[in-house]
Amino acid sequence: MDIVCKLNEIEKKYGSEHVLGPVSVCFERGTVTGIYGSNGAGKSTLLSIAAGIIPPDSGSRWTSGGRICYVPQELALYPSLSGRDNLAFWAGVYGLERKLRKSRIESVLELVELSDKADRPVETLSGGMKRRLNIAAALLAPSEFLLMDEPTAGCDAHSIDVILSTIAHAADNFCSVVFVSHSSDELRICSRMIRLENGLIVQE
Amino acid sequence: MRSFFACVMKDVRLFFSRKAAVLVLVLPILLLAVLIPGFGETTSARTYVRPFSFVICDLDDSVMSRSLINQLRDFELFDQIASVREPGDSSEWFDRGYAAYATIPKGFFYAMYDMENLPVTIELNPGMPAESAILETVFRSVTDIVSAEQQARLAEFRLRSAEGFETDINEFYYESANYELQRALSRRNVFSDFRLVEDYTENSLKAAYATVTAMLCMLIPLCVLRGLPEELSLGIVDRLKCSGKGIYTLIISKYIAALILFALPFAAVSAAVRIRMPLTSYLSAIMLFTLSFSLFGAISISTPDSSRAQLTGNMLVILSLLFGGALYPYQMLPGIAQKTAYAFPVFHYLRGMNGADAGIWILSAEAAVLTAFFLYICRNPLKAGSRQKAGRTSAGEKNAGASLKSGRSDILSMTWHKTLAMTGNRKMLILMLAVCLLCYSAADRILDEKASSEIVVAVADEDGSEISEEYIGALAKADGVTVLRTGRKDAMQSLERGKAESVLLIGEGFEKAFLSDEALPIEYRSASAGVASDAGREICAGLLLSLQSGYDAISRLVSEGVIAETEKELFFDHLEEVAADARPIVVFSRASGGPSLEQTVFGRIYARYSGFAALIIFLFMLSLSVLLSGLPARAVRKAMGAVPRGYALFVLTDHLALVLAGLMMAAAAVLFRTRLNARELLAYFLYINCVSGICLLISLTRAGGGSDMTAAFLAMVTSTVGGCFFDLSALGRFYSILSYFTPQGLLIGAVSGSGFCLAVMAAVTAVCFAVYYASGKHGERA
Repeated sequence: MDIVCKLNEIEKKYGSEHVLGPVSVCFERGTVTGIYGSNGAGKSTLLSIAAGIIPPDSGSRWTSGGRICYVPQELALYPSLSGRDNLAFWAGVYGLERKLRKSRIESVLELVELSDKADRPVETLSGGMKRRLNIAAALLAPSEFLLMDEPTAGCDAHSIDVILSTIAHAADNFCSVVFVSHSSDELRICSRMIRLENGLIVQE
Repeated sequence: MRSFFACVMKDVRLFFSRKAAVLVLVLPILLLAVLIPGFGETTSARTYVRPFSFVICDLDDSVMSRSLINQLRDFELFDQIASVREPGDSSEWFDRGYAAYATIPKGFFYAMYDMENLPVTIELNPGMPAESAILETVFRSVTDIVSAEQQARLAEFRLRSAEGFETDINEFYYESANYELQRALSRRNVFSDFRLVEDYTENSLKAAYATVTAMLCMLIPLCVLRGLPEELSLGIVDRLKCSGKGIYTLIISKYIAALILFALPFAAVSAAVRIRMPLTSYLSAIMLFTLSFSLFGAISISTPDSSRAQLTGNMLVILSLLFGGALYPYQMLPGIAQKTAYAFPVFHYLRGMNGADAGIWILSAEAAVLTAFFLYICRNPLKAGSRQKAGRTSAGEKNAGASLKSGRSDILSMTWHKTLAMTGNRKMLILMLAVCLLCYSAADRILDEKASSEIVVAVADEDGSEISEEYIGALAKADGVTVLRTGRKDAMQSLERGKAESVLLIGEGFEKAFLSDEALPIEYRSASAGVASDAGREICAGLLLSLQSGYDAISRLVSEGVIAETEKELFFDHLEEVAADARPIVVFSRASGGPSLEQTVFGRIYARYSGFAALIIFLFMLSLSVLLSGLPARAVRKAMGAVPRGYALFVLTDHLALVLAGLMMAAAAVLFRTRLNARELLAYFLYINCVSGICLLISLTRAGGGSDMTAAFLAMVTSTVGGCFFDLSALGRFYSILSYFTPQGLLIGAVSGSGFCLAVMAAVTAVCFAVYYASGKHGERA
């Protein structure tokens, strides 16, 4: 069993509001884990803690040390810049070698089927295209742990298909993918599903 | 009607939903308060000096010295003249706000009687450069007159002796000394007519009012229309259409909401100034408001997002204020800018404010055309996402992931893309830099150090006599004066257009009056009541009296038969000898540590080019920083949180992106001032970092999302308080100290050589950056 991230008895509070935990969970390489549950169940908090964006109040987090990519629910894209410029920005963030940058950008654009739209400002793209581009940014660098918060929110059927195939592609490349979704249909590609309610894992 | 009212209320609520909006309503009052102390007069003149005090240490303690001190007390520029009889420490007086410490040496008047001058020493306060400069000009004028009279008398005495005419030496000295002082003190009455030419900038209150209201007329519509691109993309218009309304309902309701919001600060500002304005001024305000609404509406409707619409609006506002004659008076604008000023509505607004009928009509016509255009393009508004452009199809490479290597984050690339995102895109960045260049080029001409080091006097000589020619020749040779010879009408025109600071009108019969000691038909006109006016008058009067001393001596010699009418050259030969041996009557010195000044009052200290550059950089950096508070920035921060050192990189590149934009703007400014030394360049660099730090802090506040809305007002307030428009030392120590609480004041201080200001800017940057880093880290709920 090749574990990329292990959360042990983690808990999180926002002020006096207890939003998560105690929760213990492991994520393995090459698997797709789907997290679902009602609004306010603590899904995004769990994802953020797993990504290392926010620290837990108690409990421990262990990762294998490889690259972690996080795709927030909001679009981490600058609307006025073109898709290609946004990807160039993220390539800079991930420290991709300059000579490889262009080819890698083209590659992920092709993966999310946006090659012909990449020179348009992001603000002129449809909601589904923006989501796909948002994911493409996370795929620029090889990562072993990919976390996505509702990656298909507001997407049409085609975009959802593209995103799900992208997720499967990432898992095929020995990446552990964790994503939050409200749709049982989308969760069909998952090798494992976790249901959260009131900050606790109620079904796995 | 109910739905229309709901639309109006929605816009008012939208406006107040942004915390920065409250500042937009409050800042105009604050701006007016900081502009009034000197904006109008200081911008029409090089600077404005209030009555100031100085100390005289009267070691001579004679009847004559006491009489001189009393006469100086009548001088309108001097507030208090403290007289002491024991030498003291000048720095103590300087700390108390005295501009100079003059010492009349023991035996001064006795020596003057003997024509063996013991010079008065005047130590000037380095902390009060403007006052020091005018004091020096006044004293030089007085002593030049005394010296000229003294030399003429001595030359006369020697000529008499050489020609065998006996004169009682004591009587001669006594008569000379009395006459010298009389002549010096009469120089204020030389001109038969001394007048300030009226223009709208002359009244500081009116000028400040005009500037603030012009900004209100432009910025309130801009702020109300700010959300239009987002509203259009949300499909508001479609919903209105379903309910039987349309885009015009939305636009008209916005106009009414903007008008309501405009009325509040406009009424407050009008009440604060308490000046009675002509009816046309209020009509001009409505016209400028309507015109601005249409212009910014057209921009908003053609722009996909509000921050870009606001940035474009801010560019237009600064261009309008500068080229319309609101920041610097029309008279000071360079020739080509004076011609283009007519194209700017603000120019006509200012004329309308002054009661000019032409201003209101042109403004109305412009407003009508723009409104028609705006309403026309409203029929087909641009929605975000609706603009489809053929994208470039790229074949791309398949799966390069296997060989992919990644290392340390590329900060340069991230910074560059963030800068692009802040401006919107490459075109907007280029446009912003072009606007900066345009503004700098105009400011460079307006605040030209070379031009500002001399006073330009337009001289119209209607006498055309030998003596008038000699006078004009002497004036042309004088330090700090450039003579522009022209006719009466052209002279007045050059004064009105700012090509000359003053006009000297030499009327017919000048020579006759000059030789017969009658009142001279000579008039002096000045553009404004500032230092330039006073000092120019001193120089012109001083030279005339100096010339008169020589001719009076010749007249006496001829009338007494010492020389014949044709033997004037004999006198001039003696005068030349005397002048070569003459000792100075006054010696000036400056305590170290202050800014260096040139000999005249029109020194480079008043050229605030660095201040203007500071204003532009502050305005645009604050406008750009709105991106830091936006949703995309927050999402990027979240996503970067998963990258090693991602948060630190995020914070660092936020700062660097702003600094990069600032550096590009500073580079554009430096193009016009290529001779900057290393310290000045360091000052600009630290200033940009300091402003960036402040922008980061503002982005943390609830007003951060509207920083671009308040940018123009904030930039104007801080620039005025920071001393970008005039020398604050002229307004007193309080204002000088206050200026150091603004980044602009720190930049000006640093450019003037203050290491303290450099250190403060560096410290502010460090503190702001640290606070920004600390407050954002883990601060956001997932």
